[in-house]
Amino acid sequence: MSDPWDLSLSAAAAAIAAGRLTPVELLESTLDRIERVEPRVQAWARIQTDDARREADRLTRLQRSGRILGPLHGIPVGIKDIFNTAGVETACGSRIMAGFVPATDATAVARLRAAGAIILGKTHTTEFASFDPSPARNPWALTHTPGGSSSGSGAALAAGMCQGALGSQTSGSIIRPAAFCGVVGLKPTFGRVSRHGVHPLAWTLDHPGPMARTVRDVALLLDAIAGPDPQDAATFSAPAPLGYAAVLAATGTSDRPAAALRVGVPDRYFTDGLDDEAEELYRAAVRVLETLGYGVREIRLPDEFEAGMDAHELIHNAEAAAVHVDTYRTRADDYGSKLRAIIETGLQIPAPTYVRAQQVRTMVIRRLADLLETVDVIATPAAPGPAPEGLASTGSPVFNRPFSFTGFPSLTVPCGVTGAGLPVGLQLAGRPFDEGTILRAAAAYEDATGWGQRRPPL
Amino acid sequence: MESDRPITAGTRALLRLPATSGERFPEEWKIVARRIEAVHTHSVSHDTEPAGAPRLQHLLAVRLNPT
Repeated sequence: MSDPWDLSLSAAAAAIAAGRLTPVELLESTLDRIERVEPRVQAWARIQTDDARREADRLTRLQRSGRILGPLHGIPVGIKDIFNTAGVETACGSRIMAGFVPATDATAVARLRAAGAIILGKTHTTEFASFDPSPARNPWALTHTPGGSSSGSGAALAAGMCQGALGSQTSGSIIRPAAFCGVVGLKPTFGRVSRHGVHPLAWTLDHPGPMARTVRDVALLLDAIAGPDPQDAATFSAPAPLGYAAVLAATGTSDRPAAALRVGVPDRYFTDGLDDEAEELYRAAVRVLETLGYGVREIRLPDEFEAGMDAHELIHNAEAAAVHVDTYRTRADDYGSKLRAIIETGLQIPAPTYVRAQQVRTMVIRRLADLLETVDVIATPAAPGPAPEGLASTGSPVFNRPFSFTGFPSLTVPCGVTGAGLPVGLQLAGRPFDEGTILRAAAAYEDATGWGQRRPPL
Repeated sequence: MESDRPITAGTRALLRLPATSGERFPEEWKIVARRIEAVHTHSVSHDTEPAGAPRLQHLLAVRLNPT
């Protein structure tokens, strides 16, 4: 067997359920891995070693008594440091929130615990999940950004320091770091996963979601955290379909029929500014989808699409200004320059413009929904290129923004490595509340290529 | 410190923000200004409801009056 830390979440969970691995063994292997690589990667804001060991002991005793709490029994996970964790500092990567210790868990965190996960610690986030970077580095090239804002979650997963993680996306903050770090990230439909207990960046754009090393792993995490929550009125009132992971397990590679999925390749926008190497890898990924039997065709994006992206930024800045204005009044100097620019410009956006931006959003949602009647999945590059060099910027969210704006689900799956050894991702987006379809397409792609099995040279 | 246009200064006063609390990010503002123009060049019918309207369904599920 591989070192336990190197197992996928699914493999580790299966080994624990079968009694071949204990939560204590998995945690100790993971802590050993962290000791070796964390000084270079700096993915963690804080690691709760003692708490994690106590929980691993408890879960191991339960395992030995024949009781498995849930599908994540004994799995160490990292939590982006904007999710509240009971009794553990949640500083949001900011000076403003330093020392804040919430009394209760965010809903997503509580659901992970209920499924048996071990909360290993808090992963670095950019300041308030915006654009001022964290100390985290990209495990594939330590002088490159891991992306943001879920920087630490992406870096920790790629470096083998946890089996699963939580991230959140307002523009591109799950998909971008996952793609830059060569892991899988899923931004669920707006309303699929509760925002309760997650510090807001922009209320109508914020999406919590899972990150992991394989498609099946994110499906398992989504199974645990999805569903209605009375504390978040945006959550869909119907329960989430039971068993995203089970659906994937039932359609293994060998017996998967040449699926009839229809894949749309946008006619524009997603190739603007795309670097040549990333474009070549994207086109190759689309050809793989064709070889899997999917019908691939070009689709014409709605005329309002680009205006929608302008509207997204106005909504983002106006809502972020509203989130922070009370604190900004007295502590402006404690904010990073990128977030200050967002707040300052957000304060000057006229109210009728904000409303108009939300109307444009309604139009784009309708048009994109119409488009997704003609195809099942939209395939795009996850980012304009691999992780840029330097740590001052977290790269561009421009290709992820459309699905944060509309709230439609999207994910990224590794689709290649550049000549410089940096991973890039394939972004797949689908219909609202149809995460199952993009997970199925991504799992088939992952099985056919295996790009996600590569490990960074740490 | 840059001086504010009067309307900006007025807004800042209403929000009780210090008039000289820092930079005004003129380069970033140019981008935002272009975006404001862009969304207003799109005609939008009056029956296009802005996204983000109240979601009341969960309240119905929680508090039904006896009938």
